[in-house]
Amino acid sequence: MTRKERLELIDRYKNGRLEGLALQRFERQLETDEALRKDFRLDKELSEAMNESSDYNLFKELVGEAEDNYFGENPRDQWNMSRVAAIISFFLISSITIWWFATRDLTPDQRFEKAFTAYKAPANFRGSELANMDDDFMLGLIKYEKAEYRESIRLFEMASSKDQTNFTARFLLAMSHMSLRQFAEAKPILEILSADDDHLFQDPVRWYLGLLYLADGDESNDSLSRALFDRIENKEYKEMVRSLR
Amino acid sequence: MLKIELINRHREDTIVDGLRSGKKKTLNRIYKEYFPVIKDHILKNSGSVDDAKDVFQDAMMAIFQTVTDKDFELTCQFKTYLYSVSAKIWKKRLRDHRPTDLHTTSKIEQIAQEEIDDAVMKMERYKFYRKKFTELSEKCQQLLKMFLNGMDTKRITENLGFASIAYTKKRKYQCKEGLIRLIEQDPEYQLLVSHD
Repeated sequence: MTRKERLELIDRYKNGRLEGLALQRFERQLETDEALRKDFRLDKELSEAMNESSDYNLFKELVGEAEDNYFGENPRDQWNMSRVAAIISFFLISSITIWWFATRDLTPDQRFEKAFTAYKAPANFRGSELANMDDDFMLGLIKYEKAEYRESIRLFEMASSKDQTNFTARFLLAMSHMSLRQFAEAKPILEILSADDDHLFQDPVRWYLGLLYLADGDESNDSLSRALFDRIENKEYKEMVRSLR
Repeated sequence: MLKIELINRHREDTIVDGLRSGKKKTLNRIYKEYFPVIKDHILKNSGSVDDAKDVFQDAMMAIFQTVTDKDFELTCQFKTYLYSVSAKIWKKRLRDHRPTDLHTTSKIEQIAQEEIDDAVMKMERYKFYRKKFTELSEKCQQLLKMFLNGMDTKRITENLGFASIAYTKKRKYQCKEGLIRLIEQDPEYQLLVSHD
């Protein structure tokens, strides 16, 4: 038997497609055929190691959470974190100051180019979330991460048309449009999201919609942009607004 | 005396049951009670706090694999078991990078070494598989990831833009064979399976 044949046979066994004699034969072969036994074990371990929903990987996430909890509570580590945060803040403020001096005379378009960075796609989904995740949405995330925005637009459109409560899909759809400078398409999506309190993208939506208003060439929208920026609560986004001003 | 023993036994059983079912409360408790002990061991043996974090996490993964075995029975205190597994992992890591003597306590030698070896090796193999997986071409990684996460072959065919389901299947086996080849050709793999 070649390796390909062995792997196919193992797959048929795993998918419950071996019955009666074939099943009996496979189980007997597992006892006697060393190569099959080795491949069977390797296949089993590979599936468990690589499948995000396997008990092994789900448990790993739980251990990661416990570690975060432990170090989040540990005062000495909190102090260390504060030091790191202070250093990062110093560099951030310095960079923002330099950036402000470098961009203060730019046009709205140039400002947009400087200020816009596509929202980072969420990557740390739990195993259970992955298992229930819509295929289009999952593929959309992959394309979005790879900055293949035309494809991510197509996939997020399908995902959000199936489930209007998939706010991540809708938000990332708008992000994909913005990344391609398709403001007319991104605007209505962000405006609807901006009026909806049922999602966790409140501040990102305010920031990106505000930015879009500044860049759309319509000066009457500048006041809308200011109003959105004023409602931002997240420190990081506030800082971004401050540097923009 | 008997009462104390029973209480201790119950305590250990609760930890094992909690680990088996992945109870957050148990995991938080294990970190709180035992991480400082493991950290001390690693620091005393030329490691850092980050090393301790890695080793502790790996030890938890190795222990999870043993406790989920239906025949598993804890024959010592959980603390001793965790210490032994962590020491074993750290010893292996030091041996891989820089040979040195370890300051260990005698309790390491007292408990089922074979069982611990198996658990540690299996955990190391899983980490190794994930490392080798990243050496595959991006297309193969995408394809195998989708298969391993249970996505339907038809959907994979459509989404990866392959010509037919038969071709997707063919590619799947090519990628899988490629991955197995990468694994088997690496001398590290022979070390990870050699004690079986």
